[in-house]
Amino acid sequence: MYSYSCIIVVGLVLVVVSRYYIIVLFFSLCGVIKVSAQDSLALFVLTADDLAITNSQNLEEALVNVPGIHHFIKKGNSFTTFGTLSTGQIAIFKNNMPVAMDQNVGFNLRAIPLWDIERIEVHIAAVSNLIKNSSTLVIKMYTIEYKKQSVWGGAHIITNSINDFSTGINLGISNVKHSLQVGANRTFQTPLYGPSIGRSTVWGAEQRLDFNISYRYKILNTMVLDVYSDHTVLSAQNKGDVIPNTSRVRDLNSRFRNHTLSSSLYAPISKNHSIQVSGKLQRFTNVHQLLDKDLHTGEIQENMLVEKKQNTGYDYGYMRLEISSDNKQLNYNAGFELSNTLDNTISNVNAVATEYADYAAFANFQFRQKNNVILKGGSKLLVHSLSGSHFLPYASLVLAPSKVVQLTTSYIRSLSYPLFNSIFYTASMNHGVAGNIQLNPVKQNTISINLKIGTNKLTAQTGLLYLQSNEVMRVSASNTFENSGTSSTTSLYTMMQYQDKIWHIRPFAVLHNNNFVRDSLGISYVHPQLGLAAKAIFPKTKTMLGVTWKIEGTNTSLDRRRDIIYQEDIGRIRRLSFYVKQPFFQDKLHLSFGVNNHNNDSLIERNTYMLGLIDRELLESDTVLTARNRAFTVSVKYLL
Amino acid sequence: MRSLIVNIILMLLVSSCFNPDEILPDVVPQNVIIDLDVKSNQAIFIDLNTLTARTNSVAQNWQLKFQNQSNGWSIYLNVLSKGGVHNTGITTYDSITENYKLSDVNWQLDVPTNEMSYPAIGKWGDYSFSAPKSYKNVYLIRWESNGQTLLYKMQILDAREGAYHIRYGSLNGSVINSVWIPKNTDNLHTYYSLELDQLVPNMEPPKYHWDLCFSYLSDSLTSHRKVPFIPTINQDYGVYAGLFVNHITNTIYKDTLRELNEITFFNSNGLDFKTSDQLCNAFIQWDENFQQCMINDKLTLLVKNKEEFYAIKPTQIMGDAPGQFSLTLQIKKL
Repeated sequence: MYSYSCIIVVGLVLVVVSRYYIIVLFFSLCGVIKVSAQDSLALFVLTADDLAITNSQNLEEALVNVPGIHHFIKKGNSFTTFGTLSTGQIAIFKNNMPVAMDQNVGFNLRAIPLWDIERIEVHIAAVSNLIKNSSTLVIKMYTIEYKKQSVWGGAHIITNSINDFSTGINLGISNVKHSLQVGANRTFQTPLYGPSIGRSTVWGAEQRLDFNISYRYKILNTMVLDVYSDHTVLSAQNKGDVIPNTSRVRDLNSRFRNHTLSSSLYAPISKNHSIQVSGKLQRFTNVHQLLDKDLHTGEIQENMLVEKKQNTGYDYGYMRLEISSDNKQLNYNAGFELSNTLDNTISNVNAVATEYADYAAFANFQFRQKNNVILKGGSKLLVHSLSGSHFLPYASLVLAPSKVVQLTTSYIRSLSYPLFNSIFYTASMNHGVAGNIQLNPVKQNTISINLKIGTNKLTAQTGLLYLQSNEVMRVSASNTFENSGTSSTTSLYTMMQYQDKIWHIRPFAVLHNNNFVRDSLGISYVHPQLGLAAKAIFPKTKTMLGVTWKIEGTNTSLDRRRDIIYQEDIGRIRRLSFYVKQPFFQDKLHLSFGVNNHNNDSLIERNTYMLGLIDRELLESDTVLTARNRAFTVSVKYLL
Repeated sequence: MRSLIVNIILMLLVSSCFNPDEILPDVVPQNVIIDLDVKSNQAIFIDLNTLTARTNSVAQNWQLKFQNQSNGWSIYLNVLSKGGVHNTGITTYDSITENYKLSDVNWQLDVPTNEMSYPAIGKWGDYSFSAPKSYKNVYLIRWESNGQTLLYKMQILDAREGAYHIRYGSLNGSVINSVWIPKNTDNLHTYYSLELDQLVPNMEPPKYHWDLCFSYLSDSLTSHRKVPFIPTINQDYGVYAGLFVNHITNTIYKDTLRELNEITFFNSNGLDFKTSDQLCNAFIQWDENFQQCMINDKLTLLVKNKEEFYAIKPTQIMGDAPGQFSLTLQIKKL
């Protein structure tokens, strides 16, 4: 049903867009409309207001509202996907620095706070030297800019009807040459319980403490040093039911700590040339404790015998040197980057050091022809200490026959490193599956076609994204990880944007056609999504109304393990949030009220099947968590 | 402004927190009464998870009990039918006739050991193969039925994965049977009646539906001084009240130091639990002063069932053990 409606919506937009394109092309050829080709822009943007509408406290909650993203929590584990791409294949940046390096160590997206984020951009098939590996879907977060005043700051309190609570404070000082911003935040989310009456939580209570510092030193007018330091501790308590006929329970406590220090120095070296050096140090640990408690005597003991989630922790080092040339017609940049990933919890497994390093050289150019054509190309030669060298070319052509029409095509070859545990860890640490140090990265070929039409007021864009992943990691019949799979995703999307002094309306439709096991079966599954992000700001009262709506059809995924194909169906998901914000005292005090998850769709049916030659056998039927319960949210924000 | 910042910092520190754990009342141990008698309640099966007792109250006519575990090949006897076995050491089936000198036969019975019980038939083949190679010894098996003594010869011919192959019959050759006894993986044992030439079903619940079985087993008299017993064919052995442990899912630890209320999950989960399938007179001892059977109040039996722990302590015994008695147990899930 949803797939048909999505196809119809996308088809209609394509028809309208193509007619419009012909008209515009005619006028542009006649010289009536001035033309201008632009670099690739974000496909979708989440502003601070959008995050407030959905009360998104972390990146995982924010991504839920991004077109094409599918998210659910199953048995205490969080899954965020885009077609056949998993979280580990979605690159995430904060202020143009990778948040979790290679995304292959199970970084917790819930530990990425958003209280200091001003803007999240979603790029697909982004041609950029920033992308170390997987570049099909790229999330870029940008923090609050330094203000041009001596002191600024703010504080916020957000609470809701399910007793979630978030408070924070941030303070900035600047004397033009030196700027400093400090912020701290505490977010507490209450536990979610399942439909059965009991003590066990579907999702445990969470407390996140953040402390972020950023510093900018304008050494010269054009020479800038930026330093960022982010610290987060995310604690979670997952409670278990009382064991029948006892006063005993078994709880799982988890603590995720992340400490990051990054720095960037930008300096012009001539009129048209500049140099930028960036570096980053990061350490995070993810510790789980299985606790046996007697609720009568209060005795607590850590259980070391029962299998639990593996404690993990990693250290990262990253450095990039880039020289750029900015000219009218031909821009180019070149440089190299180095990185190292080190397991700080288990330093070696079977006498093999649990670490790897890579280094890459890159060169890109951009040729601009009379604002009508932009040709971008480049490549990266990446050498990985375990899997050898990889050549990664990319190219993009932007045609803008008119100011209101832009056609972008691009091809990118990129990589996704296999999960760290699947390379190094033994079967006993990997739920019975042995790691394989000879695993290769997943090779991804991405082709994107995007047609964008519109003026500043009304924009429509539609496109086709094709991703083929080769050497996908699978569990072999001998219970070892191996590169044996192929998968593909074809995504058809349409997005529109209407913006005037009051309204900002963005409807979208995305249709994923996912083929998870191309190597054995030609089965594809369609996953449709429809959504709307809209807000209105009334100039007289400055009242803002916002709404976010998204509906997803059934999402089917296949997984091949030990030569058996498992199918997982997750039912329809609906998300609807409203929001009203009223500023007072010359925009210094913001009061807002919102309703999140209006439909109260939290637990969604999930069915797991084992596929046979002819039929399929239902293995398991349960529910997954897709959102927090319906909540009425009140927020108070004070700005200096 | 300053006060606002102070308030915000205070809210950061003290606003909604993890809820402390609730306090639950102590769990009272449950009483379970075991009524055993040799005529009508020969076996009582207990599922510790539900503490339901299932009684096997029909005196069944069976002589041999075959182990069903894939790597287990023991064959046990029915001690309540005054059974016994003798290994002739002869491998020619037909050479054992009525002329076999029975007066020299010392009838053997199954005996419990510190670990697994030892069957009187003993090791009948080379178990190093997935299907053991039989030594082909001929055994004499006797038992009593309706006041009559019956005597058969029996040879274990062979085995394949999942089945025993036996030949048995009367010494005079008037009865001769050759049967395959398949291993039923749902149950711990398969019961066979030589007298009826058939398998005896439903003698015990499926193996995942019971943990302990209170019944009777044979042991040497010297191990249980003065404790009353039911005589057997071997004057050195008697039949006592016994406890069978489903060793597939349970291991045990005999605690003689602590009281039941001192035993908790936390001070028990690190103990060295042993695999054992039989305990003879575990909860019963002879009281010299009162000259009668009393409970062994020093023993608390700890049972580890997968990840769960149970403490079992006897509190009362009534009747005439072992023939007919009632044993009250306190069972506490830790």
